[in-house]
Amino acid sequence: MKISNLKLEVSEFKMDIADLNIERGFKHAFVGPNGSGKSTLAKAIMQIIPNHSVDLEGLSSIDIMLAPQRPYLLHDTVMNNILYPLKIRNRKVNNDELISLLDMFNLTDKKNQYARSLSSGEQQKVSLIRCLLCHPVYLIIDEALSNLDSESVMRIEEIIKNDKETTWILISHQLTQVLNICDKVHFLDKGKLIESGDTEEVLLKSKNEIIQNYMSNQVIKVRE
Amino acid sequence: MLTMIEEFFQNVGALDAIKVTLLLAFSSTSIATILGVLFGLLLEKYHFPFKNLVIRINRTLMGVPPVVIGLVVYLLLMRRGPLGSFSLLFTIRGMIIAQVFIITPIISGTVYAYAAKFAPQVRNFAKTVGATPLQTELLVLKEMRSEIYFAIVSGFGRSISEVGAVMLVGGNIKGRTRTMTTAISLLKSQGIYSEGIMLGIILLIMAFIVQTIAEHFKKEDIYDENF
Amino acid sequence: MKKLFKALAVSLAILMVLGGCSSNQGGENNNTPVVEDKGVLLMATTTSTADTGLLDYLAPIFKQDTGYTLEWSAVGTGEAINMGKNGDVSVILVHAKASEEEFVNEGYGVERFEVMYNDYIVIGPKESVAYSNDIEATFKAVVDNELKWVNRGDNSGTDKKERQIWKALGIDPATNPNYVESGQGMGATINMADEQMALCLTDRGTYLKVKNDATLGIELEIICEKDDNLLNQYGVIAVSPDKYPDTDIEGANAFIEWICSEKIQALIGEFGVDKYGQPLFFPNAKK
Repeated sequence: MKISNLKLEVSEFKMDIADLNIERGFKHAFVGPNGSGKSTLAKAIMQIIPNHSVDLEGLSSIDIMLAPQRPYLLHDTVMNNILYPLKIRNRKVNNDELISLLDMFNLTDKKNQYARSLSSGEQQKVSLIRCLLCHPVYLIIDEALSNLDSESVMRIEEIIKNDKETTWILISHQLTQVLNICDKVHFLDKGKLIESGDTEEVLLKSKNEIIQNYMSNQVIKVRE
Repeated sequence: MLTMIEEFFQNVGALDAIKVTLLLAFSSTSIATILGVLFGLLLEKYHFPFKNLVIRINRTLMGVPPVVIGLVVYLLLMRRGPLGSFSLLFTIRGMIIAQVFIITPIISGTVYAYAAKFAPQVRNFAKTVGATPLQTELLVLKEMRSEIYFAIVSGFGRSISEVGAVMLVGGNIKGRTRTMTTAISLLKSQGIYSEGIMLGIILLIMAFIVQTIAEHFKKEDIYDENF
Repeated sequence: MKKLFKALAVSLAILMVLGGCSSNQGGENNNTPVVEDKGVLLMATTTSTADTGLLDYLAPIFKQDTGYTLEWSAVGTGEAINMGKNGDVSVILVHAKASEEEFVNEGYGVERFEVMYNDYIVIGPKESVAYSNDIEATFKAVVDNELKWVNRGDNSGTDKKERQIWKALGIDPATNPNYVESGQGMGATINMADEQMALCLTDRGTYLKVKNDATLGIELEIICEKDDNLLNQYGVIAVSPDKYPDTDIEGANAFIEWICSEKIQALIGEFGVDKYGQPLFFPNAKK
């Protein structure tokens, strides 16, 4: 996925990215302080910023999916929520995969429950499962693990690591997670792309002051 | 049983009035639903000049006294009015026309208000899972179904309780255009209060049932608050 | 249509006045009453006395002469009598002799005084039925030819009168497929008949008033009139203070005495002549 000349202005916030290359076959991460534009960039890629469209060079919206931090669940059962993206793609569900995912996230007993009555962590799980079952070309995980218990986080991390089909984009403040999973990091600040490259090169060896500041603050936080 | 009811209500034709009321309410609500839901959703989706003015006019019409609509429709349908040749005055069809004018803004206004609040997030969701534009709009409709039912039920409730327009346009003709509300009005004018109250109670029960249905549709939303 | 534009212009003007300044409060008491203010006298009456404008014409004179402010509720005769029975008003002015006498006999009213009469007429589209002075012939022709007919069906004095005539003829008017019951007041019923090009029985006063004042006019003409059977006597009765001590019996008596006085009887006889070319009511109070 190549994005060039992305210019956005959404209520005071300005985004200006000259060139961003999200190569297929790698695990990517958008990193940066709060308000740096990570989620806005994700939304722009999903084409859900009002009055803006981003040229994704041949990729259609069906190839990219987004699991947001606060997912929208349909006024329907857990199962129908999970199956909706497949239904609109006219695809059959892989039953074994469905059963194992439900089982993995402890949702088997709740599959016929009204989805909006679930806890926020469970709602994130439903949102993740419905993306995972589609195996999209690109899948953006925007802080979508934030309310999950650590066991579930570990399981989803395993899935991401072992997956060879989808190109993953993680938006996360969990630096250990990023360092553990991702091959490429795109560091953003104030709506600008500061640096793009291999994870360790960008996060640990960068000469850029902003990144160094950000990293030292995060390390202090971890220590505390 | 039916003859007993009929006798009790003396000569106002209560059973016919109930039939006319229901026929009128179902017909006018159905037409107003199609027009109102469509208009409400289109109003939310598209931007155009003077959109805010249109919304404000819609809101005003939601609260306009039915008797004003009744007068306007009367003038349109009267023998010497622009639509006089269709002979619709003092017919159920004429009453349906008047009520469609009354109910459509209620439905479109309600649907618009909910759509303005909820449709954007449904559309965003639909895009994040890769829905086509048509699938997206169908999903908006489906996701708003309980709000739409609620709007329809409100319209229906307005229809059965409305008296001003049906009196003017329908003319309260016994057995033809007399509704429960205009029958009550007539009973009152004859000083026959007890029968008027009885008919009123039946109307209240109908309104109560309608309200209960509306509550049922609203109930799902209790879950929707995530704290 | 001209009248319609006029009406639109007037309503616009009203809106502008309301929107602009509404500072014209008070300071317009040029006609200080000669007699002391005795408060409000409540009356229940039939729609015809109000619809014709007679009460609007008489009330200010009543105020000047006696100090009472006359306020009235114009409803069907049935309800007007009911309001008297419930003690909601102090005096009733209606036209249904039998019901009125019953009202007095049951002790609700003090005494019935005849005030005036008007007459009923049959109106309809021109030449739908040959003009006549014989009400029974007209009614028969309506049923025989299945002509459109609008009955008020509201138990009002007019409705009762009409049923009486049908009954005397031994005809059930509902056998006529073009017979409808409007369930509304006289004015609305005349308008409905005019819309449908139907016939109806009405009092002359309301017909003349509606014909004269309706924005788009009325096309119906008089088909039958001046049958002795079509006279319509109005009576005035004070609500008995024995039943309802709260009612204003003094005011009621003042009104009865006043409306039966020579001066007011003369005014009633003149009322409407300037506008309609004929009187609407014929005074006949006993001296």
